[in-house]
Amino acid sequence: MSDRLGTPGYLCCFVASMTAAILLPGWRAALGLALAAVLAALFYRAAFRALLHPGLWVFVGLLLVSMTFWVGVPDAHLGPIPVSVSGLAVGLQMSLRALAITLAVRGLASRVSPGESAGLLERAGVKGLGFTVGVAFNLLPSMERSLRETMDTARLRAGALWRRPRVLRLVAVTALTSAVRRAEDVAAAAEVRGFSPRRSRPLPLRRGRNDLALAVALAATVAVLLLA
Amino acid sequence: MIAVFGALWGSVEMSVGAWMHAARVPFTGLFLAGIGICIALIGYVFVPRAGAIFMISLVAALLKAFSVGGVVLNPMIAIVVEGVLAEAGLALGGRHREVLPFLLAGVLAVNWSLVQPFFTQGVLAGQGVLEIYTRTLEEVARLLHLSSGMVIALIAFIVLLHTVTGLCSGGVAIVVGRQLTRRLRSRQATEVLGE
Repeated sequence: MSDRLGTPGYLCCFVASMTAAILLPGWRAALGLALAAVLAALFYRAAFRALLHPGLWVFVGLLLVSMTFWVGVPDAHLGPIPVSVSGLAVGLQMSLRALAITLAVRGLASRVSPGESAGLLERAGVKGLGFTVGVAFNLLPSMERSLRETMDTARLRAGALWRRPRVLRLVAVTALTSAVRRAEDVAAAAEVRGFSPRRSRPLPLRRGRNDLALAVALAATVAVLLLA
Repeated sequence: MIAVFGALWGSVEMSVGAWMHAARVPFTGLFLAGIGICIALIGYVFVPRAGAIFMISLVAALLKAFSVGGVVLNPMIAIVVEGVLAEAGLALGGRHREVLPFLLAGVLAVNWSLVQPFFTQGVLAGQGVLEIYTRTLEEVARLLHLSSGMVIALIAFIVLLHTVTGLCSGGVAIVVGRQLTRRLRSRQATEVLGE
């Protein structure tokens, strides 16, 4: 089913999940989590991997424990220890919201590639970003090679680099110089071919057959959840 | 130029950053923010216009998406916000000046690594998370018999560490930027003479 969605479809899933998670009050936050989980199960199962991250559960644990034992107003007793049942309820609602947002964000990140993200940002007004990211990506291997060669040369001339901060600085300056010169070459080549980042078309976005139908369905679902 | 410095920042995040995050090295954010913003500020020496550092940070963040590490979203958010804060620092310090804007940009951007966890958790759980941390800190201090003065001193030390790192980033960017400009100018002059 996910192969019928394009970038706008995934963006709609993200917006709908976030809107429901943030705007639904009290225990209705569970509906927000349910919506996020259904969308993740249908379109981006990789988002569930975020739930395996221990840091997330440490955070949820901190929310529940702190709200129950020392942040919430005590209204019951667990043996000799005063606890807050209302605090625990608020902690649970916060956790539901946190899980829904995590699924939505990870889902979008897993389905929209960096190139498409650049395309979205270009449409939002950041002109020339696609070209710049492309150049940057292609520069990585030559920069790595240049840095390695510079470090080898410095090591042969000066010995262990970490003992001499001045040599390290010279290595950094030399590597940066060669990177800047390479960038000048790329810019000159693009200019000679008549390329201008400001006049270039933004990177294309993947569109899916179900994008529009999904957008309408999600808008209706979120409206029902908020108004019901 | 923006591509070069974005690629440099991105490659540091992709290699050193991925390794440090995976190894759970303490103060990883501080270290990476210090290096990253130093690279971006050197880039600003060559592209001295508003928005240049923001573009460099966007390129670095998008390259970070190719990182081998599992969780890249938080570092990507951190990189972009650091870029925005560095731009704010440059604007506040007065772009025409030589030293102050760089130092201010470094301090503001690097201090974000201190705020970032609270920000992302605040987005996840709402405003109540700040109260949870304050009360938890008080509880921990009570259990460990730490005075409130010691807790404040500890927090002040961490803020100072971040501020000094930011100042160093700005300072190094000024020195290396000047050296780089000199070297490129002398090479251009040699080329002209050669022709």
